[in-house]
Amino acid sequence: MKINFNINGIVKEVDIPPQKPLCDVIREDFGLTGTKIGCREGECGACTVIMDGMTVNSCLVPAVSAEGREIITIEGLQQFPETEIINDNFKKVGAVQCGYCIPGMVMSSYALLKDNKNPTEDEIRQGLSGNLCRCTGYKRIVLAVEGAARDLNKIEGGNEDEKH
Amino acid sequence: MTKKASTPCVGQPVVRVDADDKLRGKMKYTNDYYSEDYLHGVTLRSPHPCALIKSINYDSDFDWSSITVVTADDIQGENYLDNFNKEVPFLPRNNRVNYVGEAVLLIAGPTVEIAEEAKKHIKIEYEIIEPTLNVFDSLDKKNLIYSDDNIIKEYNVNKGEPDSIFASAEEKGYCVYEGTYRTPYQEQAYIETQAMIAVPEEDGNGVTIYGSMQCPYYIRKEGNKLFPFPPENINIVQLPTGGGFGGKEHYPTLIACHAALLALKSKRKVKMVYERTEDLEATTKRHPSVIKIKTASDSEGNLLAIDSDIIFDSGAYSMASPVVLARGTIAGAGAYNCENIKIRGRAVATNLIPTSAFRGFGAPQSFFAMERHITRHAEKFGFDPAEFKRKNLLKTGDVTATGQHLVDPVALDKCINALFEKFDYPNLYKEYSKQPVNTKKRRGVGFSAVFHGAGFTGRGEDYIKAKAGVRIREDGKVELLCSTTEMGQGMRTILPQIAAETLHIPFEQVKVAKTDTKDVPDSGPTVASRTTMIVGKVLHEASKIALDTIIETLAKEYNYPKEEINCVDGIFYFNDEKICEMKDIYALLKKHSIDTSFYSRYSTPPSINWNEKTFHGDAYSGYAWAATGCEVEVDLETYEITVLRLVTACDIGKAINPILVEGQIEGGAVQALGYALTEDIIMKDGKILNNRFANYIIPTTGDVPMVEAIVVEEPFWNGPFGAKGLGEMPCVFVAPCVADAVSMATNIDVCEIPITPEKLFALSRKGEK
Repeated sequence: MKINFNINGIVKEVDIPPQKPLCDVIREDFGLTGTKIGCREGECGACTVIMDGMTVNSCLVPAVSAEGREIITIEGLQQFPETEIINDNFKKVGAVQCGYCIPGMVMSSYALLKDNKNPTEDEIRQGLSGNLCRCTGYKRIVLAVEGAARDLNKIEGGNEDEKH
Repeated sequence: MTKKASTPCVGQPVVRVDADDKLRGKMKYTNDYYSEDYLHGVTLRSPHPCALIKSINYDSDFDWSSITVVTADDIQGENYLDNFNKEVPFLPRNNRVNYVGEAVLLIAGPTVEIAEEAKKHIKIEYEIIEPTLNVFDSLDKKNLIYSDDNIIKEYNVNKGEPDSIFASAEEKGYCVYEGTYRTPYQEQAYIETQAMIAVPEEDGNGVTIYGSMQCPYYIRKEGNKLFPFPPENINIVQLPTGGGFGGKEHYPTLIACHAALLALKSKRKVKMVYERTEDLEATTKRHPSVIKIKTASDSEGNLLAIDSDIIFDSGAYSMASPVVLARGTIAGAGAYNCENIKIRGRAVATNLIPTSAFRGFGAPQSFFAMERHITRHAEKFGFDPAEFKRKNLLKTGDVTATGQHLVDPVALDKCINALFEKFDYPNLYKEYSKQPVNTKKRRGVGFSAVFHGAGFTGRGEDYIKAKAGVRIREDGKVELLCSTTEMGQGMRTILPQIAAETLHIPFEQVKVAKTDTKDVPDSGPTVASRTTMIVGKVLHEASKIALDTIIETLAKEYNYPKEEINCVDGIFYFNDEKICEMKDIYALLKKHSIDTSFYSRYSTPPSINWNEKTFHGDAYSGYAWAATGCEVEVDLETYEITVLRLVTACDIGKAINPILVEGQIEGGAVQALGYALTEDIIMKDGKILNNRFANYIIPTTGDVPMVEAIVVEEPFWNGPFGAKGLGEMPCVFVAPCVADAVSMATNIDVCEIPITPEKLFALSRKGEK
């Protein structure tokens, strides 16, 4: 079946079985391997992508359901200035170890911070609860998101100052 | 002469070198490699815990033209792993399968779907043999499944006269206490599942295997025995590895060789990636244990005798059980100083999933049992647990269970003081002891003290003689040559920190070379908390040799006294006068016909005496120590447990990179919280029922507190810059603290992990304690 995808702004038609999981479309048909596969049943969050502004486990999304939707993967996320700030905070506090869960973590962190500029620790933990990490114990990931929120607010605050 | 100092590197929170690629999704793991050329390998596995394969039948209506099948008959070399008693097969030997999930045969097809479809068209006829599904049936020798007693390994530790202490206990009024403790399976649950790609040589006379692994040279050595071609024709390249935790120590050897068998037979590249379910069902786990302990103390609270009987379920094959058991047995008396000790450790065969390496390697089981037992002993006879423990813990100069005289500083006291400063266990214990009984929620606290010996037990490092080196490149960069693998712990950052500091060059100029057995020497497996302490030490030595040689050569070249040449941040000076930079060194060495690679080897310090047969002597050359406290709150209606605080003070000698050290401690401690509270394997007739992340429950962000790590630095004389091993210890100290704390909060006597609400509810109805 021919299906139209919009992934990271690139529109492409591919001929695939309609039930092919979106994660496989992203990885095999678009060659974007930053989206990882850890369980194929929506438990680990390694395959998290943003679809029409919401995070989804791309292993649970059949290709047909993604048709015409705006999908952003970890590769596409790099175009946003917020990502740079999230990345810097992950690096600074040491939130990355084996790295396999990390693209999914960054996707969820980005989506969380879009929705909530000043998340509490509990809200961060809630926002990332769908992303399993076996290495870090989560502490530094939570700290990284807290740090990113602070830095993003500083920048926005700065912009507002400029307006005045 | 003015000596300028280089910018310090060791002890600095350097940002890990791979963080950026990992964050941007650029890091390519094994499964991220795609090619039209690949065949995809799958495994047909035994549905029975014990059976004979009577026949293999291929459906003649199926199109087999694109399919390659490998059975045991295709194996030309030795069909066993050499590392373990020569009994772990690549594919069934004598047509016998010994656990549910054991590989029966291998299939490769153009896609995973086609290979899976082919699997359905192979019918295996089995003759079922009565299985042995628990260790006690196995010890009763109902069926013989291993040797003549089903015991894969037994160790005995004997110190003093424990039996006579227990015999005279009643007469002397000693306090004697007995308990039985149980620990579960634990799955490593790395987020990246097992994955390998085998690429055959065109002439069929060699293979290169790429994949997710901890120990490239293990695979190479076993492959050499399996395949007929010259040893150098097998090469192993480790690809970025998404967690290992021991689960990628031995089992990947089987997968790598499976992929290679398919690749050589099909003459195609073969990719094998396990799905999560297959990974959970087929790969090795932490040994479940049943541990019986008896202790005697006098009325003053002096520990007089310990008798510990440790049973590990090894499953169907030995795998690393003997060495796991060794560590478990050595930990059998906890970190206590006691004159009279008897420990019996047995690894017992069953027709269950093989158990093998998992971070902590036998010590988590023994320390859970012993630490929990000592708390119970103390409470039973009216001692304050912390006081009782402190009174009896090992101190510098004491002698361990195996007879090791602890001449190096024992930092337990330092760790406990550091812990209690941040987490006032003694007072919290007193305070929570006074909580009203009839409240909805109650709190409890726990405390544990442990050690962890880094590197292999005894003189085990001598079998490997870890070799590693530094290579000066033409561009002035320095490459570290070792087979140690990065699996998240940070070796690609920490080892360069050690080398950069030693060579007096900037961190950015040092890189770890690609982990390819064609290029790098065997620095041993990436296990046993040995990377920083052992491989770091070898690289420290190799770097010293390199720097000395460079300076000597510069002295010769420029006719300066070598004592007056030094290197600051990669620039060489004669007194204050700049001679040259690192980028000039390659040409200089070549000019003087000196090899640009410098190697060193590890040898166990001569002072270490260990007798493997009597299991007596210096068990480890260096010990890390830790004191840990935790506080929980339990809902007494639902038995929901909330871990409010987990604080640990770890003496690791020297934190080469404090951020990475704290990350290791926090991550290991959370993995251990899973062990204590939720993780277990449920089986029916030998088949694993919870084979998914939906029902094998590892901690999420919502389940755990911010682990508080305190780093204590008591330098180890033989470690690089004083460093000891760290990676495993956090998996050792958590479970007993949690059990203590939950027991205190609920007044339910917990002797078994994981401590689930269901278990607490059942225990409460039994009216225990």
